[in-house]
Amino acid sequence: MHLQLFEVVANILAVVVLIAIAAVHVYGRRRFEEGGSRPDPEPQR
Amino acid sequence: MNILELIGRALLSGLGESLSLLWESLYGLVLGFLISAVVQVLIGERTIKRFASDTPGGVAAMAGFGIISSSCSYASAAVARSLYHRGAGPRASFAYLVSSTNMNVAILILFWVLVGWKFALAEFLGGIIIIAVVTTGLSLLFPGDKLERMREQVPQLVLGDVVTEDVICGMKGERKHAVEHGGRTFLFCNAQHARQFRQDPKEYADRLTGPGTQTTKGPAALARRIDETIAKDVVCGMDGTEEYRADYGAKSYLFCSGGCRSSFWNDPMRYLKPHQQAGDSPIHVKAEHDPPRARLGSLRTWYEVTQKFVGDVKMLRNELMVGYLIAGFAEALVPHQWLSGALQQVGHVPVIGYVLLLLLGLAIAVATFVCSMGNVPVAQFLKLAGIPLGANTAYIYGDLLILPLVQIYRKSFAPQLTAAFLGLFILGAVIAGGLMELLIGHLPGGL
Repeated sequence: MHLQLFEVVANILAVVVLIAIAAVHVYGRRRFEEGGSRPDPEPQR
Repeated sequence: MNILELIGRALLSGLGESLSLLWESLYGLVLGFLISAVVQVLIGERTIKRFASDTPGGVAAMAGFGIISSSCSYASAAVARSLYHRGAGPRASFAYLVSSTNMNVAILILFWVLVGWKFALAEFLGGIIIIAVVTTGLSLLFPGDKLERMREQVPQLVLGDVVTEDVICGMKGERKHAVEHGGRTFLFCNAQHARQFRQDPKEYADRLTGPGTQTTKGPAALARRIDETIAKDVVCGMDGTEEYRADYGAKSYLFCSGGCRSSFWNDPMRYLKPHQQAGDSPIHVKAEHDPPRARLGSLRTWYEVTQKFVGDVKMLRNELMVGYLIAGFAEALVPHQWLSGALQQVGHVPVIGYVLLLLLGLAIAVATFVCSMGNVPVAQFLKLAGIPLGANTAYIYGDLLILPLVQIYRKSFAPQLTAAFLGLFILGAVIAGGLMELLIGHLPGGL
């Protein structure tokens, strides 16, 4: 029961963190990179 | 019940199990990726390179850096290759490869969340054993300066009229992916890059500059007016050399390696814009010199963190997806009792049985083609099916033996060195799996 509650709370926090990361990523791209429409380069393997 | 209904139920059940596994491990994944991204931004590749000597201290330092860096096997193989080609010792490079894929903080958190603390501990300690076996084995197999002399067997960028380094990704090219252009032969590491080159050969051929390459001496390069030479590698911040030179705009940029130059050509503005925005000269890589604590308050730092985070997720998304799907469908469709019975039968054969289980773990990893992070959900399934902890540990280590990675090793290191690493790695994984079973497998507290 406690474990399930922990899992739910932790995952909700994880979703909040993901949203914050997406927001900073989009805002940072507009602020620091001209144009703002260039997609991220695909990382090399 | 007709066959279509059966297939539909199986699909739904498999997808449901996969999503359930993803939900179980979501916070672990996010936390792991976030820690890894923050550390990568704060420490930087330049600092890592400074410690990459082939001494025991260098090996330990590189293993330490591997623990806090990105956990994708493909990315790790590329970094290990790049480190080796920039002068890092082979032992230190392999130590980085092993630790960044199997002992990485992101993967350990995911292990802990999904499979249990004993497994995370076994994976970490086993990684140390593998590094010890590989580095000691290389010293014994290649005494004196034999290891260093093997660098000469790694082909150089340009040999006569043949450009042996893939001008798109910086990897070693192959004859079977050769393209003729401008009187020269360009080799590529795969067919896709060769096709990409054929679509716009001039664009890529012009990327090659520097002594010994015709492009710099070609009319286009000679006609270009060069106002300034930037001696500091704008990609990594190290000192550049004329050997790896690129003319862009009215400036010449020097790089420390072909890999950095390729990264620059893939997206020059990515490396130049931050300096232009800040009004810096690209000669100075300001971010590398700032103390980490001061940089944590800056929006740019956090933007860089999100870039690393997104980049790592992009690199791993396919592997993770495949891993979760394999684990979900296996969980839904393979009867545990059947698999458990088969595993126990093999395991009951004295001594050899356990070695077979360890090798089976490695074989499953090679067959699934998934990198270490994607293997974690599958490891959870194997655990529930009753595979012993040691064999499951070996299964995770096996991600460094999948064919695409072996291809990268082949293209990056001398043949003898590649063969020695693979042999020693398998030996190390078997020893580590066996020892972890003895030391940790029987500890109380569940797997």
